[in-house]
Amino acid sequence: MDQSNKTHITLIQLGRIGDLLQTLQSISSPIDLNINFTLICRKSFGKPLSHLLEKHFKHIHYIDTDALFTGNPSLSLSTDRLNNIINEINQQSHDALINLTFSKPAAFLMSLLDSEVKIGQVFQGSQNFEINDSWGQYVYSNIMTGPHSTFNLVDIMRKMIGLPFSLKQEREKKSSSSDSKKIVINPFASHSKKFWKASKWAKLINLLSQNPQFQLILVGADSEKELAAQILNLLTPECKKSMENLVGHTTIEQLGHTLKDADLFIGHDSMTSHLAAIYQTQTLTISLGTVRATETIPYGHHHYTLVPHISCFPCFPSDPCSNFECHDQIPEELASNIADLIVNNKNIEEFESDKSTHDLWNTCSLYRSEVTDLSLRTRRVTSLPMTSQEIINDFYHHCWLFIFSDQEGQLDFPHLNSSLCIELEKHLEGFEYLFDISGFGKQFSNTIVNEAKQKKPNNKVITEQSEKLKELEGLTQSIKKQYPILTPLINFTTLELRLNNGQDLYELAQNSLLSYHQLNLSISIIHDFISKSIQNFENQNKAHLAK
Amino acid sequence: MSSIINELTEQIKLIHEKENKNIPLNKEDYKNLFLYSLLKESENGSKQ
Repeated sequence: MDQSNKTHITLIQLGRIGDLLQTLQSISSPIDLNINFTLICRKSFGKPLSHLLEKHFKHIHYIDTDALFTGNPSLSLSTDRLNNIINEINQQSHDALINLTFSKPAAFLMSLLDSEVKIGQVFQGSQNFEINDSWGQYVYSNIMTGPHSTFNLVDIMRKMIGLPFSLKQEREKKSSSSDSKKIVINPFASHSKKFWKASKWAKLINLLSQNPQFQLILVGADSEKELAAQILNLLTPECKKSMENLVGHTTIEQLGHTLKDADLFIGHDSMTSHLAAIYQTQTLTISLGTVRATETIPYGHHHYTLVPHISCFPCFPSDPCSNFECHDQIPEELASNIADLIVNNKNIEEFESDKSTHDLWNTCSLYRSEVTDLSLRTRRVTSLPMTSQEIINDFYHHCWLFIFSDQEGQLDFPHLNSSLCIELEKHLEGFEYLFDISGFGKQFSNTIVNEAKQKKPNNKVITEQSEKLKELEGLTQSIKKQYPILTPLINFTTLELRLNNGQDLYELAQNSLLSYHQLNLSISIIHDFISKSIQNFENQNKAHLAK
Repeated sequence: MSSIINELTEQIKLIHEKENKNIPLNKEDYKNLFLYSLLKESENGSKQ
């Protein structure tokens, strides 16, 4: 029995090494949280990180998923092996069990472990699942379904765990002298959709090597030696001679030391980019394929990522793609220029607004992570005003923080112009339609609640109102097609209504009433943000004319 | 490996039958679902 009165929180993270690094960042705190954290992870991904994980987690259960099936076992033998794992984990007390993975194995494992409080996805049957927390529902409805989220995954994990935001803008000063800058390059990722082919990387590395200030170090796993050789074969002899090749020569711990010592990391969304962030090294990543830059940009202040403009980006892992068109959207020359600007602390907005660079920006944008008062934001680096979609994304971000976590962040009026105002007014129409629907949802649910409370409920009234509620769900999906800007709110409410686990008619109707009430409140918040922004622009115009 | 896949596939069929009859699942069912999902995942080459 633990006498320390600490809370025992157990996290399930069955994802890859990059996911484990993000999980590690999600529990980092400058102050003692009075929490003992336990981690359940896969042995193959957790063990190489044990030097980092064991500093932050009191207990770690490394599940050897491959060993469950070693030696062509019978089902009863595999079950015995699984029983040993479950018994070992269940021997420990878990005040809360939090699933940060959102995969079927993790959600079934949640069903097998004992805890009074379960957060995140838990299966209740072979197809049905529960998600009892708002942030978990947000992940399922807005992250699993498409690029609708404005939050970094580490912040979402922190919110699921219930930890406050604690990132700082400061960065440890690097030891290298000002005339030499170490750049670590990892040109690989977990899926071919997510990384450039050898010729693109060779072109970028050749460009970088022309800068005498840069000291280039190529890193990667042993399994990536062949891919590295393809790049090396395309490098100029001078470049090859000056670059240090560590591919296949470092453990993750040694890689960490190399990254810690560097001025910049360049690569893709991968384990190495998150490791660089852990060691306070700035990163420039090339976001391709399935990568949602806002969600997975390395966690920290002023990391950069280049994002293609093509409409199919970002895609899903299951989407077929043979030509990787998004890979060609990012010019190597632009990446090389930005690397120079970052390591020398030059103004990137000035570079972006320089007319001579306009051709480089035709097919991609640069995004930068910024520490704000309540969360990490990832915004487009530009000297131009935000788009109406970006403005509303900002409003959504603040709305979710308020609705789920009762947090009010600082939100300034966006810089508008007349055409942006017209676009925002058009979006406003959509929010007004959805507001009416949520009002009807409240009304119909409330009628059922009142009827269900009666000694002899009128079944006819209940059936009528239930059918009206079903019609509303159909109407909501039609409005989503007409006003895609409403997708995050509609996706969230649809999931919440689907997961309604009321035990009887009264509870079901009450939960439905709460969902529609929350939708109503969320729309009011966003509507208010938009209306006040337009009003502010009009007032500024009037004041300007009066001068 | 094929024998355990066959055994698990049978168990999953029984689980579906149970669910169709509205019989609640027990811990053994969830163990089978967990093992089955791990095997399916490795078949698909994904660990995410």
